[in-house]
Parts: sequence; structure tokens; C-alpha cells
Amino acid sequence: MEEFKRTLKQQIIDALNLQGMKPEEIQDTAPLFNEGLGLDSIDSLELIVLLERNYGIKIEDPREGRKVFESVNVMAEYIQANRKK
Amino acid sequence: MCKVYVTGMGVVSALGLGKEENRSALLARKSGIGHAKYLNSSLVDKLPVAEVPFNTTAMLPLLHRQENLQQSRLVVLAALAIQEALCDRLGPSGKPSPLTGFINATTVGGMGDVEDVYDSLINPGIRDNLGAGDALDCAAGTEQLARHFGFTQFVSTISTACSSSANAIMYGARLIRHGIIDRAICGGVDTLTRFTLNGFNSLKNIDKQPCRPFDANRNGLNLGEGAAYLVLESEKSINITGATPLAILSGYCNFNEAFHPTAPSPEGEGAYHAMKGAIEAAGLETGSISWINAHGTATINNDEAEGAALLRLFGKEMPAFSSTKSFTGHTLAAAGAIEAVFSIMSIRHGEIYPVLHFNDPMPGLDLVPVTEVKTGIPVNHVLSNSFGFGGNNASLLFSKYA
Amino acid sequence: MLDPVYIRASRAVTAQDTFAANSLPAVFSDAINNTLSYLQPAYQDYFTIMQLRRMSRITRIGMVAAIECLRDAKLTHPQAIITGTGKGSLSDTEKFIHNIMEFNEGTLNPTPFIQSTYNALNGMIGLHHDSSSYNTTYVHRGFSLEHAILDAMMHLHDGEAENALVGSFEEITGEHFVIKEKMGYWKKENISRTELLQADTPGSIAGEGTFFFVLQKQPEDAMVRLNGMKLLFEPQEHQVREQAQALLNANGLSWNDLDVVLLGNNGDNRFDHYYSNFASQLSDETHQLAFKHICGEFDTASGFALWLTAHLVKEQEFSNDLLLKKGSRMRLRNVLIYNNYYGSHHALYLLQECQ
Repeated sequence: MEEFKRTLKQQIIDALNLQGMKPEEIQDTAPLFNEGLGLDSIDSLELIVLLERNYGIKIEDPREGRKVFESVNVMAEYIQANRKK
Repeated sequence: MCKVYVTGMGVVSALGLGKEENRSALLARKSGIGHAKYLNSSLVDKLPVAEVPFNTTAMLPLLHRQENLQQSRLVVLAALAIQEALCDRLGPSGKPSPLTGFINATTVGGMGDVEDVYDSLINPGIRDNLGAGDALDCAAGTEQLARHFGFTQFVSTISTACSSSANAIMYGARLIRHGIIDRAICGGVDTLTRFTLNGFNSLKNIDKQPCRPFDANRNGLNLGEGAAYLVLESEKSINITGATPLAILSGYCNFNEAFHPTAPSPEGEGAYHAMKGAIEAAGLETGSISWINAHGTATINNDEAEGAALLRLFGKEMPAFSSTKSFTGHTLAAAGAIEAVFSIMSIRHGEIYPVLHFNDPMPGLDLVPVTEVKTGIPVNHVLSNSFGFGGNNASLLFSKYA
Repeated sequence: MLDPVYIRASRAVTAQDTFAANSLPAVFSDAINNTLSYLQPAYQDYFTIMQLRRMSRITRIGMVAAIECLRDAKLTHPQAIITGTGKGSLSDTEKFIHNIMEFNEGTLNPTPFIQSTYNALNGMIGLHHDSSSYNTTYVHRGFSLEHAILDAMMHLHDGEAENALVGSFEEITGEHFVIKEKMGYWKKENISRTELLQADTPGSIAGEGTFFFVLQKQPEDAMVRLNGMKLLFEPQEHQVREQAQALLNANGLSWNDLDVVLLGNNGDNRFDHYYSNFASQLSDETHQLAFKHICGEFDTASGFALWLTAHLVKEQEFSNDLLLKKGSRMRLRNVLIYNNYYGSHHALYLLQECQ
């Protein structure tokens, strides 16, 4: 799981084009949105694309996405439970 | 400052070609939203749109003259609307033309013509469709139309996303007021394209059902296509053309709210200032407004922000308001001009067009739009809102010409 | 007639090292494969990782140019933000077209779509400077910057604003170069910028440039005064001359009063006649300068001439590399810019040293 979370963090960095950020700078439990990393609604749409392209998980409603993207921990668990690839 | 009169107008939308077809559909509560027949996209079965119900070839012969015009859907829709706008104001012949400007607006210009041939355009070895290379911007269509109608003295094109043609009308009016031109043909056009349909789909704000502006359960917009143009004239120009004013463009305001690249502030700061600015520019009070043709795209964010702005500005004395996007879809750069035409029709015929598919007000916002056609009532001042990406908000105010 | 306006600050990002020192460098880069591509500023100094994440090439350049221009003018919140661009962010437009094809209209990244919007940069500048104000974008090829300036002049004339941030931005991409190459925009043979203006063949070299200006109503601390402009779409050759004459007359000047004329010669022999005919009006004392062999050809290249003029009048000198024909005037007071974009969009600007 630790290795997976590191991979996921790198994927987040690539998907959101966070140039120069390192995976270890993103905390497992810190909120990704608002006061945490500071992501917004457009990032949430980018992360939905990431889930579909990398894991075959389709999310139609962006509001559902925001729950999944609460933190890296929540996101990693959701992916492991729902991944199609 | 001199007054700016509207002396002609023309419109093409999913509701039909021309003002009468559009008005009949509005009065009959007949929406133009459905499944596309002509747009080349694999999303057409999934996402409803408001498509002009004719193919481009069938519309071309409706133009009085076809010379110089390529068979581009963008250009043909715009040309039909301009042709209608010019017929309204045909004054006595034989008089010299006033100095006329053509201010066009579009969000993606000739993208509809380009996207099907893009692969060949960027292939150095293929020399087909060379002409389409120039259509990959906003000005190509404007220039064809300018040459076709003889508006080459002053041309411009504006692109501010969904507020584009409202800004074109505003620019035309300001140029007239400053005496730079005497008359302006202002408006906008956009066609349905894969580019924009996929763009809004990537933002996940397209409703899979017909859109429900200002409804608690709204779930996004439907894209539409169309074109509309107004003829704006100064008093000096009217003395030359002999045209009869249809209405007065009495106020306008552009206000960028600097909140977020795509979303409005929840309080509708930009919408509030745009509406307030337009009413103040006209020297009117909020109580004078008869109808607000709202931006009302039916996206979660827009309607909440616009609703909050309406409540803040008008409070308990809320004028009748609705969104005709439930008929025409969101026609992007054409929306401001199409809704300007509807606003002037409302003033001239003393009627108000409703919103469709409204059931419940948005939570926390005590706002109920007009849901039935109202006729035989005095309509003196109509506010028309157009808000877009990048926080670009524009409001136009049209008043009765006594 | 609109009141003159004053250029308080002026910034340029081009293929040349014009940005860092805000001046024309002593040594110029040459075109590679008939393209003069941006020398990109160091963005890291301006933005955090989070701010940079959704900025594409042209947005970054535009933001940096706008930020420095406002800083030069000691302005934090411009009262209007008005831009012009012929093509907007081509990279984003192309990326989104390709994404649609590659992923079969499936789930797509929204960012290139958002950034492809022509007014995206305007919105970003407003956001960055927390400026809620008048904000619009003109997208009419060789008139894009001119309409942005005209719009600002109306705002300043009315007193609706005391100042306005006005600018233009343009980029060239590999794909767009090919599209235009097939349409005859560029020279068939590779050419050095030093030989461009004498080429006598069709086509020019591609360029790109981003220019920002702070315009203001009052003369305080201004670089130069913009007295007026004229725009002509597909005119007859004599009309250009007549309109220039009208512009001069309206400002109480004659041809002989011009100290410097900047001409948009781009080495394309299909359009050279406009410039040679125009130049035949000029006194031998007037310096004739060119600029497109330095910045290349693009929709909003007139921005480079405007930037050059602001500096030339303020510093009372110009680089000999710009010279088409040397005049004799020592004092550089009255400047006329005449540019046309492939014979279609003709723009005239009359500028004057501030008193």
C-alpha cells in the first residue's frame, strides 16, 4: 500500500502538472482540496480523468469525485476497492 | 452622450430561422433542444443539444446573394441573421450609407469547418482543404461576412467566451457614442462543434436531459447553436438611413469579478455589478425593470450565483425573470445577441417568455422564474445577462422606443 | 475625436532578449527554420508550483509580461484589462483537438479546453492582480491589438478609467507553422533575418511576441503619447496614404514633421509595394525603421513597433539594426507606425514625445 500511495502521488503530480513537486511533499492524510494541497474544482475533474485512464474507474458526478479525493489515503483505498485495471 | 437605437435585428437558432419562427416557438413553449442530426460527434445520442434544424446546404439558397460565401455553417447562420437584421431597417434608397462597423463575436470561429479536416491540414504532404487553414481563428468568418455585405470600413471580432456578443453590442454602442462610427452591425455566432461539446463535457456540466434553469434539480446546460445581430444607429445615422427604431440600447456594463478561471463567486459578485452598472448607466431604478432575460445556463454554479445576485440587487421587488436557454440551449458567443433580440421582441409585443422545466426553487434562494407565457402587458425595460468563463460578466439594458 | 493617451509602461517578450532589461539587446538571435521563437522568461521567479500548474506557454509569458508592465507603472489594480490576440493559445487548442481524437470523445482533460478560450489570459491577469474591472478580448488578426487600444482610449476619454492594462499575445506552434506554410505565409527557402527584407520572394518568417502596455489619461511619468490610430481593412493603396495624412492633419502635423517612421516590411514581395509607396511620401530627413526582421511576422506584430517606439522616444536613440533608411533628425519627437498584416489589416499609429 505504501508503494502504491507513492505511485499515486506521482500520478497526481503528473496529472495536475505540479512541476517540481515531489511525492513526499504530499501527506497521506492531508486534505487535497482547499486548505490542504489547495486543489479546486478543475483539479477534481483532472483527477477523475486520472482514475479512468489509469484504473478504469468512471465517475460521472463531480460531487462524488470530491468525496473520493478527500486525501491520498481515501483515494488509494477507493482505487484498490474499485479498480478495473 | 448620444442615444443608441436598435433599428434592425435578425436571429437564427434551434427555434427556427428568423424572428417570427423564434417568437412562435417561445409563445408555444416549444423547445429546440433534442438530438443532433448534423453534428458529427459520437456524443449526440448521449447529450441533447439545440441544433438549427437544417443542414448547411439547405440554408444556403435562403440567402438573397451567395457570392463570396463559402459553404461554412458558421458563415451561413450568421449571414441569414444579418440579412434579416438589414431588411428591418431598409430606409429610403439612394441615400449615402452612414459609416458602418461590423462587430462580430464568436468563441471558436470556424472550428466546425476545421475539426473534420485537421489531420490533413497539419500534414505537410497533403494539400487538400488549404482554405480551412485560415478558419482556425475567429476573424475568418467575420471577414467573409464583411466582404459579402460590404461592411469593410470597420471590422472587429470579440471573444470573451459566453459573454462575447454582449460585449460586441457594447463595443458597437461605445464606438457610435464616440463618433468613431455611425452605425454598427453587432452580434455573434457559434455552431455546434465537437470541440465545444467535448469541452463542456470535460467540465461535466452538460445535462443529459433538457436543461432546467433555476431549478433545484438542475444538472447542467445544453449546448446550442445560432446567430443573431442587431443594427445599432446614432441619431445622425438614422437621419441618413430613415430607419425606424425598434428599441433603445439604454444601458450596458462589463464587469470582471476576478474569482476563478471558470466558476462564478457563489455570491454572484460579477453578475451583481454588471446588472447594477447597466441600470445605473441608463439612469434607471431597479423598480423600472419589466423582465430579466437571465444568463440562466442551468449549471449548478451559474444559476446559484446569478440567483444570489438577483436577490441582492432586487430584493423583495423581484421583476419577472426567466432564461430562454431552456429553448435555445446555450449558444455561447451567439447567446448575448439572441437574447438581446428576444428582449426587444418582448418590449415590442408586450410579452414575456418563460423558462421551461422549472419545478422547485433552489434551496436557500427564494426565487421563482416566470414559467408561463405572459402577454398583453407593458414591457418597458428589459435586462439581458451574459456571463462567461474568466469571470467575464456583461449586462445589456433595452428600453421601449416611445 | 478621442483624447490622446499616454503610455506609462511597456513590456515585450519576443524571440530576442527584450524582456529582462526591457530594452533591445545588442546582439540578435536569428530565425531557425524560418521561425523566431520566444526566448522564455524565468517563470519560477514569479509563480508558485500551484499557480503554474494550469498555465500553458503563452499564458505564462503573458502573465509575466503583464506583471512586469504593471510593476513598471507602479500599479497594483489596473482599472481595465483589455487584450488582443489573433490565435490565442494555439498549443491548448491543438492539444484539445488531439485529445478528442485520441480518446474518441471520451473523458477528457478540461484544462486545455479552458486555456484555449481566447480570454483565458485576461481572466488570469484579473485574478492575479485581484482586479475586478472592465475586461475584454479582441480576436481580429492584424487588428486585435488595435481594437484593444481603441477600446482603452474610449474608456480613458470618458474618464471611466484613469488607466488600463492593454496588451497582445501570440504564439506559433509546429503544427500551425505547417498549416500556414502550405498557405504561403512563409518563405519556401530558409532565410536569415539579416537577408529577410531584401529577399524579393513571397512569404515571410514566422514570429511570436507578447506585449503589454499601461495606458493612462494623464502625462505623469509617461514614456510617450499616443495621439491616434487609423485602421483600414483591405484598402486601396492610396487610402492608406490619405488616412495617414488625415491622422497627421488632425494633430496639426505634416509629413515633414515625422522624425521616425516604423514600417512593417516583412520581406514578402507581394506586399512590399504598400510600404515603398508609403515611404515615397517621406522626407529624406525622416528615419525609416523596420522591425519584423527582429521579431518575425504574426497577427499582433505591431505590438513590437509600439514597444520600440515607447523606448525610442524615451531614450532618444535606436539600434542601427532597425534602419531601412537613415534620416538626419537628431531629436526623435514625432513617430508614425505603419503596419499591415499580409495586405489585409493596415494600422497607423501616431505617437509623440510627451511635453
